[in-house]
Amino acid sequence: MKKNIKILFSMFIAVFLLVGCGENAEGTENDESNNEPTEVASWNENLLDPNDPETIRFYSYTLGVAGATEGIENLVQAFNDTVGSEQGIILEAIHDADYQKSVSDIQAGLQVDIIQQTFRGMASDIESKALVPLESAIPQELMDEHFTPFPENAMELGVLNDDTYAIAWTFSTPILFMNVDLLEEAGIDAEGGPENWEELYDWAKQVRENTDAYGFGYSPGTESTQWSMDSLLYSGNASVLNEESTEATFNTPEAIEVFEFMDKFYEEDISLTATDSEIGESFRAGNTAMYIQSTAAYNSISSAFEENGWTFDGYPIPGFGDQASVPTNSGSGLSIRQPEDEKKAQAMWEVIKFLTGEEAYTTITSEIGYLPLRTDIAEDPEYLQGFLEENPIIQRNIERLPDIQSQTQWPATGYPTTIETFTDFRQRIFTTDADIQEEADKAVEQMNKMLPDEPEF
Amino acid sequence: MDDRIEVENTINLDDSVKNKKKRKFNWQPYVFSLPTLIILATWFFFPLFKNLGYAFFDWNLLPTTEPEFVGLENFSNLFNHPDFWVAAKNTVFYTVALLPFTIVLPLFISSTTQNMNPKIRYVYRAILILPLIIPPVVVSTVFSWLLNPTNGIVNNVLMNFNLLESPITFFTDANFSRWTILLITAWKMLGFSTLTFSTALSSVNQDYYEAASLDGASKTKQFFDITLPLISPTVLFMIMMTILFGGQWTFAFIDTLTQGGPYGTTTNFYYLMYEFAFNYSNVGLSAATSLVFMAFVGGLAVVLQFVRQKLVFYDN
Repeated sequence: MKKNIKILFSMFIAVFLLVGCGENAEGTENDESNNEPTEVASWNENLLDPNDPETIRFYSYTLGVAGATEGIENLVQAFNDTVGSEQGIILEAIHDADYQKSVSDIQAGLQVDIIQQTFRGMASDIESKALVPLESAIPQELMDEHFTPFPENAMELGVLNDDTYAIAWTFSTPILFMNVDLLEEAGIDAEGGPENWEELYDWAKQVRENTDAYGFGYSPGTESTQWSMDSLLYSGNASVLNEESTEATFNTPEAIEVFEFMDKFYEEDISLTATDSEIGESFRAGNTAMYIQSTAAYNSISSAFEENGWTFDGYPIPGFGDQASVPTNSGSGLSIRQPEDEKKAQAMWEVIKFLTGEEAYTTITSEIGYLPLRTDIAEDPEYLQGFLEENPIIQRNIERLPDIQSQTQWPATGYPTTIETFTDFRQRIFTTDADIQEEADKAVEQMNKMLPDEPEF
Repeated sequence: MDDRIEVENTINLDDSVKNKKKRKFNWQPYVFSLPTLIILATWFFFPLFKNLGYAFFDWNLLPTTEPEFVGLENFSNLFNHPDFWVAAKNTVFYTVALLPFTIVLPLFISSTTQNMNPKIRYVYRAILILPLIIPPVVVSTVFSWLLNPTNGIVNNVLMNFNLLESPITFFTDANFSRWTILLITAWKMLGFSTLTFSTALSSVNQDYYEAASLDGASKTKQFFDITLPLISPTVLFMIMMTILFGGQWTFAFIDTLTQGGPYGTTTNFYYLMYEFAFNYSNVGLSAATSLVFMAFVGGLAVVLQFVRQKLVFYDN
């Protein structure tokens, strides 16, 4: 019996070792790092061939957003029907659920070419997704020519240490959506929107007192609302981090003033202390009068209100007092991973060119709601002029583009624990009776231990 | 003397024949075991030992990067992580608080419905198993609708009956979020536990109850003196399942409904491991967490085995 057990155990170890040896060790055959970065800064000839198509896998989180899926699918189909079939490129779009599908596929060694990249965690994602500067794969002169109509401040958002890691693609600024009928029911004329946050607070309180609905909806602590929280802080002359992103600064008197103002909405039960999606559902169901969101939600809000026969409107979020608000951008850029060869790089460029072209932005704006970064098409009757005349909310959003400031640039060091610390801080101060200054001091101290000593970018 | 030598030689000859028979190797059991061994080695032991190794390295799982040996740094970072002790506390909370829903309540339901009409019993068992077979993400979606602060039926009913002045935000209020995750998990596992106990009750010899009834024992006495001891193996099995897997059962709901919030109040070790690996892209930290958790759970398993030997009664 003992001998049998020994034989069985030996067999097991043998099998185990065989299985172990079967795995590719890191740094061997499939390792991309063995290939030197392709020098494709200048292309001599078009290597694309319709008879030998190149497949490009494009990871998009917007593909999974309710109300936006069809728009992205239409874009992909349009590419494959036109440029794709002419040039020999097959574009596959994959839903980048929770921004993690691209990461897990990369870790699994699958082909990941172009990623719809948020700006929030870009510094960290450069490493975790092995993103490369677009200049290393695509000739600069081609990009310069194609992106001329794009606002310069938008193009700079994807630049770190003088390298372009993301081309601005889908953008919005924070928009205050309003249920006009609910506001009217509460005795408020919503024309033009509230002049400032103080008036917004008064309107919200009036709605709460005179109707069954909530006056305002803004999630107290969801990471997806970080971009609009940045806008609020900038508008109040405050910020989460300093310019070098080496120090947390959200415990300054100016920042505390913003937090204390926003806390009134929750303290007085004027706003739900719910998740962003719950508040969005509440607004679409007519149970919340005002809601801050990007215009990516425009289509779904529009269809919900149309179905119920309600009227909605939207304006850029106001500033505090008589100061103008400072808009930040939600949305994303297009990032790339190292192409294996020049042919792949050319295929990637054709996809990026298409996705940032006039037809694509017409689709993106009219079918999804993001802003056309090619602002010239806003006044072109062939593209968006008619649509914008019928949808003034989007037009008002476009007018904010030149004033966009970058949302907080989170350094890779300490990310994502740093942003989680700030999100937890927001949740704590807005959903409990915790002292805001005390909590801010604690969170700042905690965050400063995680931030880099020297600027990363 | 010659006879004895002859007998000894005969005996020696017999031994030699026997040894020859012993030396004939039977290869069949080993060959038949091979597929199982390969599967176990590939899907269980290899990942397990690989994971244990990663706990001492810093790596983001990218094929383009090399793991860097960091010794015990991952463990130090783990114990100093702001969410570690909260996750530990929540793991214990979910485990202990699930026990009434996987042991006490199912036992009560199964014992009170054991003598139901067989046809009705089949129907109720089918209904009970439904939550278990519904995918967790679907369950999460349904409960997010039911518990929505303004649109959900739960808040609407409570407010219509004037039991609430303001709706409860079940997923963002720290007073409710953990209990909400627990109750959704309990709802999902209740059917499985009830059916397990129903099966155990069906296997108890009815003669014991007849004899006890003749002796004048009440139903309650019969339950505690006959039923409970005879189904003690199943009871301990469910206790072990709950203690060892309770935290894991909550993972899907934490991921889809609260993402560990508000401010970490719903996170547990399983979610922490997932976050470290896939949100932080820090395999080393995730592996260190799994190693610590494995040691803890392994110790519990040993204790439970000891308890099993002392308390469990087998009717044979």
